[in-house]
Amino acid sequence: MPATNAVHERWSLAKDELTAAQAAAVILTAGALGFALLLIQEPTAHEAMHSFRHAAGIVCH
Amino acid sequence: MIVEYLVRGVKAGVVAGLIFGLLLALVANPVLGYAEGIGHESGTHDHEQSTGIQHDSLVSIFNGISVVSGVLWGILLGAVGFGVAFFFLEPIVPGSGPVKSYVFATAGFLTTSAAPWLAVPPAPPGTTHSLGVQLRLLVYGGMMIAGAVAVVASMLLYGRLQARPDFPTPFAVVGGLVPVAALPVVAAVLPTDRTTVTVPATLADGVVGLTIFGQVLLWLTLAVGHARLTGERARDHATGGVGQVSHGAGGD
Repeated sequence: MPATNAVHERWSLAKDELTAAQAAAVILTAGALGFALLLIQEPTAHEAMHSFRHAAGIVCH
Repeated sequence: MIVEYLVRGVKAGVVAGLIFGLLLALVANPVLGYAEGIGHESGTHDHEQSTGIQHDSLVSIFNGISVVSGVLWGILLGAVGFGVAFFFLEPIVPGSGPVKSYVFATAGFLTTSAAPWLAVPPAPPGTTHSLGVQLRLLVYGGMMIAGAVAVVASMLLYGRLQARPDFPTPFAVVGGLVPVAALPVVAAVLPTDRTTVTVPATLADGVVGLTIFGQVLLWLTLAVGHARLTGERARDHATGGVGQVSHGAGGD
């Protein structure tokens, strides 16, 4: 069906445009940011972001 | 082209993040700080905070870090959602022009907030949970994945139904929403978290309402910013006589 074909096109377009290093840079940066904001449970870091986590509705102790 | 999408997503994310940061600084930090104090009095929240003068300076530092985290949250959602995910999913997102941005923002809100909240609802400070933090994080993440699968399935289903000549658009919308409507069933299967709220009910309602409002506002500002930037880009193409960029020639 055409819609999914178009998504495939986007996929190959991305592969043509980005080098592996550029793609890795994007994924790693987003991953680092996501990890820091969502997963860190180290007490001081967690405490410091406490009201952010409550305001964003992310799981908190 | 993907670089152009990414830049647009990050731009929208910076604007949305700054507004969300402002909400944190002016509303959420003082309200949550107050609720925190009441939660402490009832002695159920095991925070490792020092007492006395040091406590005050710590609170202001923590408030600052929370505001910065809020700005970064907006940038993260802008980059991953409107930058990367929208680039790949644009062909199947229903609507055209600015409507696409708003539909996608709704899908983003469902994925990152609404779906996880079905299993682990936002809780005010001082709430005790029957499930541990690790398990609740896993449930939250699992519901995010379920939410992403559901919204993509909804978009694909809507596209299929709408393409059929015997299906008027309203029916296609209702039919397309079926996968999203199944999310509460997924949440019901996961382990249930029993909570005891220690702050007064009115305050708890206010805090939860603030959380929901904050995330809706964040996605709304992302959508408005993204729709405007996309519109500007389209106008530049139309007036500048630059052909639609298809392969290779990217850049903003």
